[in-house]
Amino acid sequence: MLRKAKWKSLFVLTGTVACSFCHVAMADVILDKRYPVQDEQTRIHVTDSSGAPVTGADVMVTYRPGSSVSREDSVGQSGMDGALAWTPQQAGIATITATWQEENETDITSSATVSVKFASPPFGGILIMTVAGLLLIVGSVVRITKLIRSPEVH
Amino acid sequence: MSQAPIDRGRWKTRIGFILAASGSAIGLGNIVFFSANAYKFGGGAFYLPYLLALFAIGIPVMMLEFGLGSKTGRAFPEALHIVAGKKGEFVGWWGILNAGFLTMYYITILSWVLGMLIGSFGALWQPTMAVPAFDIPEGVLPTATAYFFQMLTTAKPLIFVVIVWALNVLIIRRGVQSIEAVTKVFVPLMWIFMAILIVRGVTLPNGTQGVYLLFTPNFDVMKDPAVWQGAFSQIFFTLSLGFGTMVAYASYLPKNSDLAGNSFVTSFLNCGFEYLAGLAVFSVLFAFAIVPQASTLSMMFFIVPQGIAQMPAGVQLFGIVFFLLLLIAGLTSSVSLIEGIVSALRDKFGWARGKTIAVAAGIGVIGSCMFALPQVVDPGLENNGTIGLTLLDLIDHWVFSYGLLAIGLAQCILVGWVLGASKIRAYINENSSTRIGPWFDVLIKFVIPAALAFILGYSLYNEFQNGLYGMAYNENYREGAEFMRAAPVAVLMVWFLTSTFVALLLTKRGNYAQES
Repeated sequence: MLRKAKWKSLFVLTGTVACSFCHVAMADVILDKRYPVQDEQTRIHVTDSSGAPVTGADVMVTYRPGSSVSREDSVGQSGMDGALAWTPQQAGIATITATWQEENETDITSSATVSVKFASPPFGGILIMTVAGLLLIVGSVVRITKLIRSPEVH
Repeated sequence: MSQAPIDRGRWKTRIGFILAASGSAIGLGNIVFFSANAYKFGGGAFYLPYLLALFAIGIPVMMLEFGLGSKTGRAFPEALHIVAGKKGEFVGWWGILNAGFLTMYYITILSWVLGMLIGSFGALWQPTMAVPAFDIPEGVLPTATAYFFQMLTTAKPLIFVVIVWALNVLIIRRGVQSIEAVTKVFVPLMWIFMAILIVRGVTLPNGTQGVYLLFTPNFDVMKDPAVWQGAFSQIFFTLSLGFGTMVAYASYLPKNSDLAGNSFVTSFLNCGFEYLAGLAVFSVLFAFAIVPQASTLSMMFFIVPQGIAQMPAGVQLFGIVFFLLLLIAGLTSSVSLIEGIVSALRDKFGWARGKTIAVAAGIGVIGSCMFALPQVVDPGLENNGTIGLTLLDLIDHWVFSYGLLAIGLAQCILVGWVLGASKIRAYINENSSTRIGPWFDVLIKFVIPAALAFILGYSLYNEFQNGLYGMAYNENYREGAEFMRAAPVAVLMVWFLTSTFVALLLTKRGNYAQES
């Protein structure tokens, strides 16, 4: 059962286990670059269990899977060489899923998870990181310094 | 029945108290759950409700609990008894019993951490592993996941439970004296281990990109009530509020303590640690393209080890550091939970420390072993696999989602309205380096109860929408394990009835020494 993730669950075992079982499929989704870059085109290659290119596979991408801001986009269909172009729209972790039918009409699904690099350091992210860091880390240091200098024992 | 006042002990130094209180707050969830929660709720956008919750809920309730403990010099039930009589005491015992359930399964989880730590010396990092108990062949599950489930189906965690309880007993045997001595070593060690993991994480190829991912905001989520619920709950849980532990720890403080200053330091240290843990975890996950999950257990036992296993060098070393960090962080939290229970029982019955620890640990070991029962009931691993893990999942839902928040709500109402928020504020201000203003009264009397009531109401609403928690498991139990279908209702009843009736019994039985 793929139960809905709790807001504070200790366990989301099912997702991991289910995904892991998906890996039984020996088909593969491979990218030209190990770390594709946001807004830069790269190529996705779909191969079957024998390593041969798969033509006509439907390829989808899920940006930030497992989050409440997860977004799914269609990339397109693989060409004669089993490849297709993809320009990542978002940086972060993304799952690419390819689906096709074998000659015996069995549905085959293969997926790969990739990390998409930011095209440039994100201003918003760095700002929040700095503000939160200043508040929490510097706040701790200042308070502890005050504590050490304080004549009070406790 | 009345008892003579007991010798409760005192913290030797302020830094000792701060380290113990921050060690109590910094637990397993800080290391892995916070950053996964942030990822789930829009990355950097989550920090806004989180920081708001820290200042509007976390720090004021921390001040309240420190004030309550220091003013009364007593553990949670007696402190609330002094504030609101028998009704207050009942609330206190209800909280202590919930903390008792939590302690039992928290120590079971620590026993699994110990098992994984032992595994991280070798077996955990082999390329593939089968899980014979679930008929899962090699190569299907990542090794860490396979190792975890294989371990769960053996009697080893039962032995580890006894070891972890023994470690806890050893640490609390002399009360604050031994707790202070141990936390003075453990808490700095936690920071050192975390620093090692951060340096390793951000120096991995593209590790810093993971940090960008964690903090880059997506503000679309702000209109989702689940994000606010997640942030408010996160703060409440991460600061160990509503467990009675902070009240117990503060009861060992002298009357001239800087309570406001202590609250700020403890809260900042806890949240600062969470912040740093996010840097370590996300740099590893991005470097190896691993999807985070908003679940403490999944992150601890599957996701982060999966990342460590892919490190180019020092896999064993970083694995050991990670699980040792978890074990130490967990121990400094579990000792505070047990101390909260022990001090409450001693205040009430005047028992000797050794006898009280023996009673608490005796019951605790039995409970923790229940959550480590290795029988496989779900061979397809579609739910939680074993009896122990299923029971743990169910009780965690009720204790965490309802029990502790309900206690937090009742505590704010009792102190805010019955005692008077201004009185506790005046007491805190007597010796504090930072003066707290009337805003504290408004938060304790109105804002925090409203926020906690919203979270509880929202959780109940979801409960009614989705059906009783755990009922959906029922389709997946194997033949011969159909008895587990009664577990969701049985666990709910055990949790609610035990908490309520034992709290009533403890409240009605005898009087406190101060009353006599």
